[in-house]
Amino acid sequence: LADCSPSTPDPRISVVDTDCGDAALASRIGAAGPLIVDRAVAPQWVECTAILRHAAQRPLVAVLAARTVLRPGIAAALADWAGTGGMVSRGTRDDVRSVLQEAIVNAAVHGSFGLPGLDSFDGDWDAFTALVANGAATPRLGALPVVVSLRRLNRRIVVHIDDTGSGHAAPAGGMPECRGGRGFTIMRSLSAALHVSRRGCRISAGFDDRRT
Amino acid sequence: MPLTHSLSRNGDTVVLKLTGDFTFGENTAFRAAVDDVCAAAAKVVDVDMSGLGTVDSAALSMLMLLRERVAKTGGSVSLSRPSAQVARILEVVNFGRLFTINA
Repeated sequence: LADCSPSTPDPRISVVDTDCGDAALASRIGAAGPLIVDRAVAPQWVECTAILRHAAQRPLVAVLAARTVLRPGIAAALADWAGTGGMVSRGTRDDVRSVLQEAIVNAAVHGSFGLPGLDSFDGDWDAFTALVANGAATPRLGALPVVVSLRRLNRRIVVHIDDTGSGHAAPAGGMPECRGGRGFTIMRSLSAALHVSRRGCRISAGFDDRRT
Repeated sequence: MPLTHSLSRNGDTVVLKLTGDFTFGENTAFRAAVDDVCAAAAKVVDVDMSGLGTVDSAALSMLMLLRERVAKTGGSVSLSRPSAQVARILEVVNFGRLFTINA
C-alpha cells in the first residue's frame, strides 16, 4: 500500500461518515455494502490504486482511518458486517471479532502511529494512552488507512489487516507477568493460521468456518 | 456495547462488576472503575466478569495495572464468572498464573 498514485475511485465504494456516536457508527458499518471507505481517511489514500486493486480481489473490504479503528465497538461492527454479508457464521463470529480487535489496534498504534508496546512505557498506562490519543488527534497520522479485507475459500475464511506504517515486529509471545504483548498470543490461539507479512504491516488470519 | 461498572461490598471484598465489551477503546471507562476501586480502599477486589461480552489484550493489561495498584496497598485482585469466550482468552494467555479465576 506504500506505493500509491491517484486514480479513479471504485464506484462500488460506499463512504461511511464516522463523525457520529459509537453506536451509530456500528450501525452504519453493519448496514454498509461490501466496500467501505471511512470519510475520515485522507483522500489520497481513498484514491490509492493499490487499495483499489486490493479491494477488487476481495469480496469484503473496509478502509478505515487509524483513529476510527481505536473507537469502541469497531471490531464487533466489522464482524457483524461480515456476518451480514454471509462471510462469517455465528459460530466463528466471536473469534473473528477478537482477532480483528487485536489486529486493527496493532495496525493503528504500532503501524500508523509508530508507537512501541505498553511494556516500553514501564507500565505507565497514562503515558501510553496519551501518546495513542495524540496520534489519533494528529491529522496526518489519524487519517492513515487501516484496511480490513475478508474472503472465503470453501470452509476457510481469510482476514487481512493492512496498515501503511514502516513495519513492526510481532513479539515472540510475552511472559505471563509482562503488562503487554498478549495480542499475538490471542490471535494465534483463536485463528487456525496466522501470518505476518509486508514487514509487519499485514496480518493475515485464517478461520475454519462450517457455517453452523 | 460500552463498558460500564458498579461496585458493591461483600464483607471485606469489594466486587467490581463490569458490563459490556472491555477493549482498548474503553480505557477511559476502566480508568474510572480503577479510581472507584482505589477510593473504596479495598484489600480484596473481585472483578465480576459475567457481564462482559469480550476482552482484548489491552483489557488484560489494564487488569494487570489494577492488580498492581491494589497490591501497592497490600491488596489482591481475583477474577470471577467469565463467559466462555472470555474464559478462553484468559486461558490462552495463562492469566491463571497471575490471578485467582473463579468460574
